Amino acid sequence: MSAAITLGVPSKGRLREAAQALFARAGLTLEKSGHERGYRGRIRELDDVDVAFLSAAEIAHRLHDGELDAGVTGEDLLREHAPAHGASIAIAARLGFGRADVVVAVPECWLDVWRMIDLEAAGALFHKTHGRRLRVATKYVTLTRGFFAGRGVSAYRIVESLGATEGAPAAGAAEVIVDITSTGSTLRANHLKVLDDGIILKSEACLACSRSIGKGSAGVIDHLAGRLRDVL
Amino acid sequence: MPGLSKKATDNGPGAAGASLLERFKQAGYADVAPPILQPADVFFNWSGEEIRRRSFVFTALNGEELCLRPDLTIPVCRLHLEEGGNGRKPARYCYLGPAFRYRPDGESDSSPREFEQAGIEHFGEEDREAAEAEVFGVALYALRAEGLGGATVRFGDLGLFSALVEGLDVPARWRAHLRRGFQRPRVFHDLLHGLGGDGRAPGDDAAAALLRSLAGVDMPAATRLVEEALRARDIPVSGLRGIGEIAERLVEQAADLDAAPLDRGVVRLIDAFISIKAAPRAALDRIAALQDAPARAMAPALEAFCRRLDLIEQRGCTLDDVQFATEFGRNMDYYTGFVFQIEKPALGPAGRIAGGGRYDTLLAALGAGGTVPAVGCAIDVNRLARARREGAS
Repeated sequence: MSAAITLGVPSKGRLREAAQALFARAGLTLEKSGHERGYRGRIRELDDVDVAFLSAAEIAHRLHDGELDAGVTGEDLLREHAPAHGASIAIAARLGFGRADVVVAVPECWLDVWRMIDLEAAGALFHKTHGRRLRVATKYVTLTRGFFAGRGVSAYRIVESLGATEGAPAAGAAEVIVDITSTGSTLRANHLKVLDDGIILKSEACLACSRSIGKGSAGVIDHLAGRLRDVL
Repeated sequence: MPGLSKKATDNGPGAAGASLLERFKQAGYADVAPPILQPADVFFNWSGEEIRRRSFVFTALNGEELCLRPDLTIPVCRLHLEEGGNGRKPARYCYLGPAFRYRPDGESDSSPREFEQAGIEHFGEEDREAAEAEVFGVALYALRAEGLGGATVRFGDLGLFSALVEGLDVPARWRAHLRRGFQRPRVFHDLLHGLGGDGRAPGDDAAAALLRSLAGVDMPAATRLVEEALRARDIPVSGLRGIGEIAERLVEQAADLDAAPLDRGVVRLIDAFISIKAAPRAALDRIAALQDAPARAMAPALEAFCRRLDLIEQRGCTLDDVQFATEFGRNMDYYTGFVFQIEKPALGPAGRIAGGGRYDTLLAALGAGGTVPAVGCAIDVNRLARARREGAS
């Protein structure tokens, strides 16, 4: 019997482990098909689901493109990589793990900057003083632009960061960061503080589905979402 | 060879662009062709994320960040500065060539990713109103000669708000906030009502104590107090933003702590100013008649406004189709004074055919020695060709 839907599941890290554990609680066994290093898999108890093990960001991309019918990934990535995600992607269930906030953080020594409005004023003075814009290091380019624009902050520019964003200010690569944090301890260790109104998104892992799926597939996803919700 | 080149058709952007360029050259503007590939850094340090999100940016194999020019003004400015000198030598340039914009909502006929832009830039002319009237007149005349009939013109003047703020009886530190805030319409009202303090310091207790200690302190002492506060809390200082900058802002915040909010009369004056929208001379009268307006501070800007209108009329342009609004241009960071747009409103966004104005801070930001007067106009040639076709049918 051919699979009705393709479900993206994170291939590694905390999200993978937490997803596996949640599925197990719901009596669903995620397993790889073929050799152990392969990227395809299935749910032993459900015949009509084909699993693709992918990076969490890739899952968000492919949901947006309609290449995946459903996927488990972070809401931060859904919003970042599929910005109009209301149009292309729907959230079927919030899964209660992978909780973290996407935040705006500045160096602790900026005793004059506590709110976004301070960031705009400080940025304007910085531009005037140094002849360049404040740099904001982030991998959340779309989220950052939308959030800053909504708060009237325009005295900045983005420096794309692909990892260890919290180190960018100390390394001199940026002055400000937008990054994901769960406890804030990494930020504190790097002498960064979150602005009072600098929480862009409270994110958690979600079961999301593409809006372009057919009725039959929607039934499969509803069933899956229901079983996961029952054990949250 | 028929069918080979779209550019050869009579109504296409190619023909319209070439003949616009010819008219600009006849008006005394030197034809220049700046590079299509531009250094991203120079571009976006100036124009910020709003433009960057609509640009094609990429990294070359050697790590250099480049962009396809989203606009030709900055490339022309860079060319002008490469001529040497301090950039102050008067110069008139015209150009025609492709520009590139990423369209986040998808490209369309009226907003393609690649489009032809023609335009003129006029640098270094100290008689500002004369240069403004000339650029506007040359652009409007060229568009009309290209068959654009029945266009509407919109005028604005960012110098007026600046002058109004200069004359307000408010703390000097608020003037810069008001000027910047004016160009951020979405948050301007929050800013107006947020000026002044309620006695509560932002941040944690230690920060609040520091702020209290800074009231009325001079800059060297303030810098020392900030240094001490950071040392006491074991907070390292890092990055380009120095203690001096932090202290400067803290001293302002300290002064704001117990300051009375912006006077209601001033808020009313600003609101009344912003709502003015009329034919240019009628608007001028209404601005001059604003209750409690700082007449003396505003007089030079109003005189310049009036003189600009006279010079435009002397060039044979009537002001009959011109709408002035004090608000017009406030969301365009780039401009510093007179702004205009030539449009066919019936065509929607595709009807915004030409826009221009004064941008006196750009050349300095790109490396000129000090402020250089600059005024220019850019024409979207694809939209012109389209408006002309629709006008003909």
